[in-house]
Amino acid sequence: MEDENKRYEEARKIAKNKVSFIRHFITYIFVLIVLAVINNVTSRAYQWWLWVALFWGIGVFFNFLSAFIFKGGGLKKLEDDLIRREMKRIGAEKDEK
Amino acid sequence: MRNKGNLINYLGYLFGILSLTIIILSLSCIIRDRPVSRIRKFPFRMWAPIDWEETLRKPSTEWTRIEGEEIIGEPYKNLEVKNISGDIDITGWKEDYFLIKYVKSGPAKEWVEELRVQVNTTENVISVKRLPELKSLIQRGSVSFDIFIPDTVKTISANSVSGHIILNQMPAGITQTLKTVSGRIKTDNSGNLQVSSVSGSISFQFSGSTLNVSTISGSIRGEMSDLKSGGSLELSSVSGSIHINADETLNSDISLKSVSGSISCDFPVTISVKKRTLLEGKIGEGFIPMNIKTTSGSIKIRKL
Repeated sequence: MEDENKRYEEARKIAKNKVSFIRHFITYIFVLIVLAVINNVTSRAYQWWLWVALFWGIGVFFNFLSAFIFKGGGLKKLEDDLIRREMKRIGAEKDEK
Repeated sequence: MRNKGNLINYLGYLFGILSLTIIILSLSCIIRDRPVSRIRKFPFRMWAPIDWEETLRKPSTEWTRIEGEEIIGEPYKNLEVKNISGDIDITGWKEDYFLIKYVKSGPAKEWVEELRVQVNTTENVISVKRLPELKSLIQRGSVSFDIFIPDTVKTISANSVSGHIILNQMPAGITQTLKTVSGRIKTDNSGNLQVSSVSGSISFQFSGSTLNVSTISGSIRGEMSDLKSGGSLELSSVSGSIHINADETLNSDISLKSVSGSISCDFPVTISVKKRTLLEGKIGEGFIPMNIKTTSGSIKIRKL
């Protein structure tokens, strides 16, 4: 039962991350369009909105990586594996004694 | 339900790829449009083979420039220049005619073609104006003036909203009235002088009787020599220091006031009032009244 709860929590977290990424991307595109329009209506000499597109875009892309690619949490899994291995080793040492 | 879940997954991957594409596109646009000397070398040169010389020579590929000039041969005594956006440079020369050069520029060709320069001459006055005058809040292009004047000129009035006003190699004793909202003002060898700027520094060389210099946000630097009695010297700034260099013959009744800044004077002063924010007294005989005020900045009077 505890295992089931744990899996449910993990699945909920992944789903939440995915939906929040979609929302983030739509906001990003909407704000970029507004900024690009303001930039080009006032002066077309310098396209400053590209800087926002670049740096915010990097943030959005990292959000995508965490929601869809490393959804299980790459480092968290590694940590869990290490804990399990260490527990096994400590158990084996105790048995030997 | 399963279909909706799949849709979110597909959308997620699609948006992820789109965000990466936007990053790459915006980065390439920034590198192409804004060359920085630091990233000219390897490895950026390999990734973006740009003709840097060509890129640096052009201010912007989209900007349009139209140049023009007018020659006025009559020896007019008064010059008036009115501009909205753009610099005004006025230079004295030894020829006996006026040469008015101008550059109209703007981000769109149709805006630049709409700009006109009007040169009117009436009795003793030559007036140079940019048209149309301010139509909307959004500025559509600018006009920069480069005007050469003969030594027959006695008064100059230059007015701009956004842009510097610089006067060079002026014949001695010209009465000058210079005003801009945003931009620095520099003049040399002036007679009576009235200068005002909202945001910009002011520097001048003055040898007349009446001086009135004011700025809201900017410093004031000036040189005074051969002052004539009968006028007054008023200098004020809200946020900026005021540094004056005067010749040793300065004879002035001074009032120096700085709310948050130091006050110093190289000349021997017969002090009448001395407070932390105020110094009043006489330099020499005290013929010419001099009031200097600043809210945030220092006041210095040095010997030339």
